[in-house]
Amino acid sequence: MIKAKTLFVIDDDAIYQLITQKELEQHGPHITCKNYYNGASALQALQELPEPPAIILLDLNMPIMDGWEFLEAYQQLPTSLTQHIQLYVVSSSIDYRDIDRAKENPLVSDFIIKPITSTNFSQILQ
Amino acid sequence: MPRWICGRWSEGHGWLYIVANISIFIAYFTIPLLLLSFLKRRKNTSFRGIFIWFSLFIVFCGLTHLVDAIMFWYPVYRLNAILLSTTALVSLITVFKLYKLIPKALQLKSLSELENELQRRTVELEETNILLHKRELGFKTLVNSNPDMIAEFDAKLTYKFVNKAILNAVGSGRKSEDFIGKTPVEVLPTHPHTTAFVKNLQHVKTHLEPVAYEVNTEITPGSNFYFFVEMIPLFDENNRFDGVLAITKNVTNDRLREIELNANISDLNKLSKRLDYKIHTLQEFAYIVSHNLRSPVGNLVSLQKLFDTAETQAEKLFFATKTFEVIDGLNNTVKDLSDVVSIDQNTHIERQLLSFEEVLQSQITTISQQIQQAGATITTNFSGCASICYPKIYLDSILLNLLTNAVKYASPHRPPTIHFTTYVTQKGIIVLECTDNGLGIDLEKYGHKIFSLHKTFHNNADARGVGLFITKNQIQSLGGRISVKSTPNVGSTFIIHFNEMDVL
Repeated sequence: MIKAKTLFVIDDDAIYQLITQKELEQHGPHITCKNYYNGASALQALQELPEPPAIILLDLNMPIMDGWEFLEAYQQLPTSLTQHIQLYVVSSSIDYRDIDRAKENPLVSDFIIKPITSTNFSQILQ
Repeated sequence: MPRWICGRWSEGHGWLYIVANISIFIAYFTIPLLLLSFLKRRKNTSFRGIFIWFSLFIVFCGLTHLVDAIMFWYPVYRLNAILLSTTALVSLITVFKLYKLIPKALQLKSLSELENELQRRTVELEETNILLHKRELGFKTLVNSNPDMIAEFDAKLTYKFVNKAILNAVGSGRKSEDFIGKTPVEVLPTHPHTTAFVKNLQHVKTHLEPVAYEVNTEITPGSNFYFFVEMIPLFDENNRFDGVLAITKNVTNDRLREIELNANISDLNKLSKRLDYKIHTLQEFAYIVSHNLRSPVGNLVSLQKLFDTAETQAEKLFFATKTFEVIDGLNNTVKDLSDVVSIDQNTHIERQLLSFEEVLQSQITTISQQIQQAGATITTNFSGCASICYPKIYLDSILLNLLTNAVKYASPHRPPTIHFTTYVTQKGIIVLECTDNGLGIDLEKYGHKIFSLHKTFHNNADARGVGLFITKNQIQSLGGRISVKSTPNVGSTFIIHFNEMDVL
């Protein structure tokens, strides 16, 4: 039996959220997708939900709490909560300063440049 | 016994003997006197020593003759013996001295020889004189034809020599004689160069060391001349200070070229800085374009795929609607970016003299309704700089954006107060500051992104993140800079340096 997986998609772009959800639906019914439109609401959910997600897809440019701020707060969370989470930064920025900064963070598994492809999803979900 | 007695003397014979001896004595006594007076008058005579020995020798000989005469009455044989032996000693010494002197005396030239020598020397001297004169003429020509101004001063620092270049430079028909024996102050009391020149002459005289300096003199109004002056102390044969040689070079052309060169280098540096800046701006723009176009285009591609694979008409319609939403957004983004591109292309847009007060008042009128609704108080102080030469549409847009932002991001806890002020920095940069008491921005978090496109920092429905981006690009395209100081919940100050590039 395939283990159920929960994904956090943190992005202020509603269309992107919709597309990601549709894409993930095609990878199987065991995947649950939760949408957050800024870092603050995702952070709150992380602390309140009984079980942490397996994967986080994090955008960088968002109002209220952007990706960098989320990463800072994320680092402060207990390791027991974050150690099994795979965190991917997903951004349309091709500024090497953003890419380098994200990849240097040990909590970030990878930097994915938008648009995110089916192949990307397959790799992430493995 | 006296000689008269001891011998057979006739009266005549005896007296002849005596008179002869006494005469000899007188003559022998006079000769040395004459010799000594000769020696006294011709002080430079060589062989002085031998002259004295000769005199002694003759005196002693004379004395023997005197005693010979006396002996006719007094038989002083013992005294005579002592005198004779002393005379013998003096004679022998004189012989010895004379003998030693002969080779030296042989070297003495004869009078005719001396005359020949004199003539030869005179001819030689004349030749040397002619040569010297020629050389002096050559030297004078060299000094006179030299374009540098050359002057020689004596130990009292009065002119000893001036060359033609000085006379030409001074003009008004002055001659060399007008200079010689006079001080520079006496000759050129009103020349702008004189004070420094005399001061440096004094320095050379006091410190006995060369001096070199440069002066920039405005000889005729509007035309600057540059002179390089060298002063060298002169010494006589006893190494005592004897005067100063002053050489003044006109280095105006060199200096003007140098100034021109420096100006060109500075222009190039400015250009290079502008290019660096332009490259940086373009790179930023490339990032912005990429960032703002990649997302919606990626979304469009994904939506098309979803549309194609949709099974029901309702689903297809849903994805189509979403596609139109993305297209609308994309359209807006492209419009915003086009605005920025047109700013960057309009660097030669016409400038005009604008009053800050007037432009601000017209913008206040434009959004008077929003200002009234917010209850905003707007104060100004444009006394530091009342006007600026700037494109009107840009200043309109910049002031409108600052005004709109200050009203839009006002604190909910207090009515907005907005203060505009201008001043000019020491370097001549015109600065505008706009201070509000609004929400403020956390610069530690957002400082690097505050002027970026589509960045919003407050959860404000009508914030599109375009205003400050456009403002920044307008200011930058005209060589200015915008920065911000802010404290969250206290307020923000936006600072615009309008013409920073001009004073780089």
